[in-house]
Amino acid sequence: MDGGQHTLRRRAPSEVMRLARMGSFHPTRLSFMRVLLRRLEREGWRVTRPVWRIDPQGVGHAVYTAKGPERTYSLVAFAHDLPDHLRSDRVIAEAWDATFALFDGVPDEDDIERLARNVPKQEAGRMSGSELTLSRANRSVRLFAHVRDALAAGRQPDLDEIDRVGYLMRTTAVYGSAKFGLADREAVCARPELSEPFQAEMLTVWLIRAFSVNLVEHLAQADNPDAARLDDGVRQRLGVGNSTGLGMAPFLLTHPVLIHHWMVAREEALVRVRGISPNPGAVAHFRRALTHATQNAAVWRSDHSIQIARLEDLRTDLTKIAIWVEGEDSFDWDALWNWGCAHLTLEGQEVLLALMLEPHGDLVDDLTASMSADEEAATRIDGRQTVAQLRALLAEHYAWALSADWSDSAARARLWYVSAEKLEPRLAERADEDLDDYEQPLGPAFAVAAAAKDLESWALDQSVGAFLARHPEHRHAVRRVQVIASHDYGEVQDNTLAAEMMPIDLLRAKLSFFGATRFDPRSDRWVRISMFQGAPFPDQLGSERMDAWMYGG
Amino acid sequence: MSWSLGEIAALSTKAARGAGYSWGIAEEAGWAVKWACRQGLPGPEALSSLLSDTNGQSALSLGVALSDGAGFEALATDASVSAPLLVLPFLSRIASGRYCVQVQIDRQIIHVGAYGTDLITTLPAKAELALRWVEMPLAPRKPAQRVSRVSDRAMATLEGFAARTYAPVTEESRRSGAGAGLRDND
Repeated sequence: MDGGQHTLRRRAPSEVMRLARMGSFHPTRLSFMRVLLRRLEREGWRVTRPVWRIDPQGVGHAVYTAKGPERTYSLVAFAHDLPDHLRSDRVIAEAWDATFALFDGVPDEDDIERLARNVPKQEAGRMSGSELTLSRANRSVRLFAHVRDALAAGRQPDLDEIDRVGYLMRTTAVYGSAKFGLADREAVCARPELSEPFQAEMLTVWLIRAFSVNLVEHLAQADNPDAARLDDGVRQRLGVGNSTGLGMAPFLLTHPVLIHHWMVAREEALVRVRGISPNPGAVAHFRRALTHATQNAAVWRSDHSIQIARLEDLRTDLTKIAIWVEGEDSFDWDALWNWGCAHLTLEGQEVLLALMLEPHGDLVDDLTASMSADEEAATRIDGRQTVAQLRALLAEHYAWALSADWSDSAARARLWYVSAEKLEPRLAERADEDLDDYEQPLGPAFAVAAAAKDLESWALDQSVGAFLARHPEHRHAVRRVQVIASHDYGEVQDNTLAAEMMPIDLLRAKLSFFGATRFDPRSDRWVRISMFQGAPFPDQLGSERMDAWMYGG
Repeated sequence: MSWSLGEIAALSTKAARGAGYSWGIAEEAGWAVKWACRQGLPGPEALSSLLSDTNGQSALSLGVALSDGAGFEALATDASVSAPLLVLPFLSRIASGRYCVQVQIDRQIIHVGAYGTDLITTLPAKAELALRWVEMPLAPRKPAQRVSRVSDRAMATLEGFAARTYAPVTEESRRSGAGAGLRDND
């Protein structure tokens, strides 16, 4: 950094950890899909498909094996014959077009037999410590049939149809980390390839993408042995869709330590880039990324009014950014950034952040190593802390929650709960349904405010331990305050019980860290996205083009 | 069949909540059971016994008090401790590298240090405890990464309590509570 410049500071949590902004996040080069593909390329991984036992009806199983310098992982895929009327993306579904597990190593026949008995049942089956992820996917009925028919007729599918949907299959859940008997993260996180967040899940989805293409080509061939295969340029436009709702929303509220690490890495990356001036190569790279983002924004579709408005903001702002950069031969990133903060919408600011990071992998990619965390280490309550110290923390980190008017029923209009029906997370209007007994602890603002209220009458030199002995109901909230004190980017500074709260803001933030694109809400709590759209395929490993797909390169 | 530590911890948290503990205490239960499982000890069975029989001083309440800074006087002198196995994780929190807690359970003596315990079997469902500090290093044991055995009865008990945290199904909640509709297909 230039010694003459003022010290740049990260944006504060009060600015960044707001749902409206989080709901405008764009994926960046720090996103976990990017991390995966960079590593696979850098370490010389290779993917093979040792097993393909799928019949002409599209039923059977396949194995894709990803071999790295030290370890091997295998996607075991089961293809099923699912009647249309049973297809559903809800957690409550019981059958799917395809089901998958990521196996730690290379499965033998016994492993495959065991997996065949369990994986198709998904949540109703049992996984072992040899499996890292469990997932399922449904076909895009319309696009899958269109592509199959086109290939069977010897031609490539219609590009408009491809772009309209963007995927042949969409996952409806990708489970990892100990669920249903899957391996605990602590059992594998010392392995470099799994040390960064969600790498097993990202590998799973990337291999599912390859499977979806193989499956449609296979079925086209079953229709006509002279069927065409998808051209590289066509298959690249296909991602893996994902359909998700409230199941993912609590994550940002239940993992404050992890979210803190993710946010700090992102904000630190921004600060690093703001501290330099781009050379002509970096400026050119930025311009290519901007063009790519503009083209993406043009084909990014949604029928939802919220997203349509956001897309208008995005397109307008991308044009403004282009005009600003056009007029400049050389500039500081910070000058561009400061202009953006003053003149762009939230969408524009957050896409600008992503674009600014793109040319500077050398400067920021190392930050992904800091995005994992030992969440358990932070959970112990410090009972010796005094009431005075706790109240100081409340003032510093939760003033926004304490000052809300909690007597207004709109402030607690919502209630998060888990349904007995397949344990599906749901959101209720508190006034409409009698569910208070089942309320999940997903309203930290209110919980902290309630604890603060009872704390008011306690002497300052009393211990937090004594307070909690009298008020065990505030333990969850007090733990949260103590955690946030050392992880200040870990709290969403908005009321998650409010009448106007939109769960899709939580979803979009998390999905941007995954690297998901084409965010398409179907309601305020259900969303479609695309993953790895535009990315290379496993057979392209070694091409040295494994990181140029999200924003061009 | 085996279980992951994570799913046992999650089930334990829900079970404790279903039995009436606050979420904050329930989270401690999940963590304590996980700690016991890592040590190769029957955590789920201990929690099942604790939640089923509410007589005596709760190991959870005692453990939380000790962890929060109460001295050994938190141990009630005139009551047995229910599920004493689950006090051990909390003793591990307050132990340091040099000092461990010596625990007398009826006639058995075991130790708990910062990295684990030298108990290798189990403890009775209810027992009188005596605690004292000793200066003694305790070597850590290699943590287990799976739970290879849980008694059917303990599992059924925990799942039964956990189920109390799930709201009963209604058509209204199925329709409006999640998703874009019952059929979301294209």
